[in-house]
Amino acid sequence: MIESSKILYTKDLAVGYKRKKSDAYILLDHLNLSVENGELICLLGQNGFGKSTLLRTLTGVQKPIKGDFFINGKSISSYERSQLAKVLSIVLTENLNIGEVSVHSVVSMGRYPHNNWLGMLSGKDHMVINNVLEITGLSSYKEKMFNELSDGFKQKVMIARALAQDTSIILLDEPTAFLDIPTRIEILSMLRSLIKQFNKSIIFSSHDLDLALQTADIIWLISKDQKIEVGSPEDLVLNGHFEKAFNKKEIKFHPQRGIFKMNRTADTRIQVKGNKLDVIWTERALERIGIATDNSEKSDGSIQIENKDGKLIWQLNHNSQIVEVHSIGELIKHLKK
Amino acid sequence: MSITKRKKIIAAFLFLLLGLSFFFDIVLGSVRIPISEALNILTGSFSGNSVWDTIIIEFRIPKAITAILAGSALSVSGLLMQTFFRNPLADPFVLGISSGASFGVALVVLTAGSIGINILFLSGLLNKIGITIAAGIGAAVILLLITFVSKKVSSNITLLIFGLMLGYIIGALESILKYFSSPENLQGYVIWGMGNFGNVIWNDLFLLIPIILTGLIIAFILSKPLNLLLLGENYAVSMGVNIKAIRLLIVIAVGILGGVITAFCGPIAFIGIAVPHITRKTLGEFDHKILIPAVCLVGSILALLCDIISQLIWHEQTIPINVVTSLVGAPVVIWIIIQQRKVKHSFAME
Repeated sequence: MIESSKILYTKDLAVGYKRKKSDAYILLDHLNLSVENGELICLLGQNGFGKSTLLRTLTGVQKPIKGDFFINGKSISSYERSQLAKVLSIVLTENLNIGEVSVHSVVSMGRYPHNNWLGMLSGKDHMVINNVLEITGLSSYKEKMFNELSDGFKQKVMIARALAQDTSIILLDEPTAFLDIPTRIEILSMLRSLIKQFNKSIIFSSHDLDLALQTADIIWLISKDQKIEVGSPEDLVLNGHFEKAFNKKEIKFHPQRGIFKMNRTADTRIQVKGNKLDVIWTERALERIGIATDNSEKSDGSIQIENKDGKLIWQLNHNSQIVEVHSIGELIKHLKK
Repeated sequence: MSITKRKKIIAAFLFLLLGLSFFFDIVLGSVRIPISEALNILTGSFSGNSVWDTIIIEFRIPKAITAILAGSALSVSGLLMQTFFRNPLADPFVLGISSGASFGVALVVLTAGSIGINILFLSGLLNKIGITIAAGIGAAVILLLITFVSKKVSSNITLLIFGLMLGYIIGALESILKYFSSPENLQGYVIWGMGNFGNVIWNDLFLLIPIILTGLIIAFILSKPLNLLLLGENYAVSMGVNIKAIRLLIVIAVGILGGVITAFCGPIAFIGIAVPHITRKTLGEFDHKILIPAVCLVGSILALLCDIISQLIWHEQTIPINVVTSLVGAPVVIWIIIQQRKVKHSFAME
């Protein structure tokens, strides 16, 4: 790889907190990360392991403890704030409340690093703003007041503002933290499409594992030993890094599904038979109450799911009793007894 | 009607109101002067009555100009502080900046006799410069203290309470000074503390006008970073705002505007907090390059109106301007607190 194709790279970077006197508390050490054009990178890790600290360092708000990093080949320490604003923009997790400001005005603030001391918008600025509003689907909302929008829309506006800032890198700190699931998916797929259209590099932090696995090209996974594992999501699943990074006593990474599960030892095993989809959801319900599914002869009982005239019937054979129920809810009630 | 057209109409209306209130502030007062004669004097020709000439030219015109300067300065410092602290309740008076300025004045005025310089209160330009500098320093010190504390506390209300407590502490220190000062000095200080636009004479204006203009110009130059600060410090920095420099300039501007007006007119209550809210609501505007001139307009009008009211209630005597601004301004603050839920939308209230 040629160095120049990298938009951003770190050189033996260490991030953490400066304590009052000389000693520093290092959260992440010896980082040699790189970002290329058009990459969507997700920074994943448990809380308290240095996600926000790394992002704050990369935005230049916090100084590196050791090492350095370079944007467009230039060390961060040689950037003026006003120059940095032209190459790097941010979107934060905080829920903003601002006065009488329209969507258009918030997005137009993104042009401030580029225009004159009074913030007057030039013809080019107007063009960029309208284009950004169009692409983010905000055109018809541009006269709306920012404060009247839902949280998801506000976050979209802040992303549009970052786009108007026209930087090669956008950093997003937990952009979906307080949003509901459909909105999260919407925001992340928006980032995905922006990468395609603008050839930007986007780094976002998240602790939403399954969405990150679906969206990101590359994952920066913070491991438990102050390091960051880098790779495509699938590779990190297969080589077991995910499990290592996240496994705790109560929780277990499920490599087949790419999700976490509560780690419970099952004392009962039951055999489930029937239509494939019905079996999957029945198994999930059993799992929840700590019953494992086992299709061998050793099982403690069995469930047969049948479809009688379009109605599902669960026939439970357990503790030498046979019960017929009409929903999973009832089934669970019986098994809990 | 388009938004810009609406704003133009409002602006025209405000200018008309400013002209009218300026005129009536000059015409009305304890000495009755016919409107036609007042007009004559204002247009440069003299009336038949030399006492009237003197009253209008030497007294009422400087007072009206002072009201305009004070209204603009206090409103702009209120606006700067509200944006900077992201706190709808911030203003020089509420957060103790005026108290700091008062204390500076108290130090100069109340110790005047004891340090051997026997000068009558507020006489002589030199004395005024001394008071002005003391007030400016007092204001800036308190503002720096508030800025420091605002980094430590996240709640706006906490900051407000801190400002109020600071005011009490300074008040207590002032009481000690008062206790040991001579009766003449004390009387001068108490009268000053009630607030008055009428202490300023033409000679003072030559000092006051350039200082206030400097403060206002600094504020106007800060329009763009102030707009970005609406999104919070983190976003502002990410869009290229040099936060340390901006913070220093805001402290200087508020120190100049709040401190100097306090030195000349006494601590004036509530104009700084009320005017930015009224202006934002009326114009529906966030952009500081429009808001700053607009709050100057509205602040000037309000200060003039308060001055007119202070002369109208009793015919013989004027009542202290602070009484009027408190009666007008305090309900605005109460209204803001009651609307807290809505105010949360205007500012991030953690």
